[in-house]
Amino acid sequence: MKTKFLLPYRLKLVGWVLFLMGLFLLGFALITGTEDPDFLNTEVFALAATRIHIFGEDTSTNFKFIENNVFFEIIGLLLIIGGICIAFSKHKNEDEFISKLRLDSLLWATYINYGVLIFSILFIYWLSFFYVLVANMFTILLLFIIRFYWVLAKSSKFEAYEN
Amino acid sequence: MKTSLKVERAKNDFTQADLAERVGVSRQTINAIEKGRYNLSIVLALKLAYIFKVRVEDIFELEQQDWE
Repeated sequence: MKTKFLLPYRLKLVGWVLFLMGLFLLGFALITGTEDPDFLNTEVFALAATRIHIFGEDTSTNFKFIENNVFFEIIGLLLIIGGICIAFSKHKNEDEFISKLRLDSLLWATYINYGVLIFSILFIYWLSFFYVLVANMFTILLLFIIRFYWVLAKSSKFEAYEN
Repeated sequence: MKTSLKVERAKNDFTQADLAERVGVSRQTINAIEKGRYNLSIVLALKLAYIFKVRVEDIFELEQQDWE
């Protein structure tokens, strides 16, 4: 079972570097309370941007350049691109068994991810639900990576007892 | 599916790593097949039979549960 959709093996290391950079910046921002460093204020093109106003009507800016701080956009991109490279780069010895572990792990991660989302739709509301949606952008990749590497490590452990 | 892969491997004095290299898969794959944890593809079954100079049915055998 060969697929042409996997990334080259060398991107795995690149993925780890990007992902850990994203994780470090996120941790740094959360621990120190740093938000929006000034030098990252820049003009970005917005297909859609709605601003919520507590007093008054919400305003929408569509298909225009807007002022924005890109700190969290950079973190998001580092985590997602890094995560994709880690998850979907070929294994050193990618073969049909590892492809099966990969497919099983992807199914497992998808079920768990949407299970958590269904639970959240039913029991989590308002701003808390928004936080769940933000986390949900990354959880499917994270769950897949954890599950895939866990079953891979487990099958390597079995192998260690054999010659 | 029942398999005598481990026996064939021992007869030919191959380690899992040797066999894996010959058929172009990982050691995990050979181990999983021997343990009955993975049903391999036809191509890999044919490659293994070719290496051992036997028929595929000599290494792999269907069990009742495969029909259920």
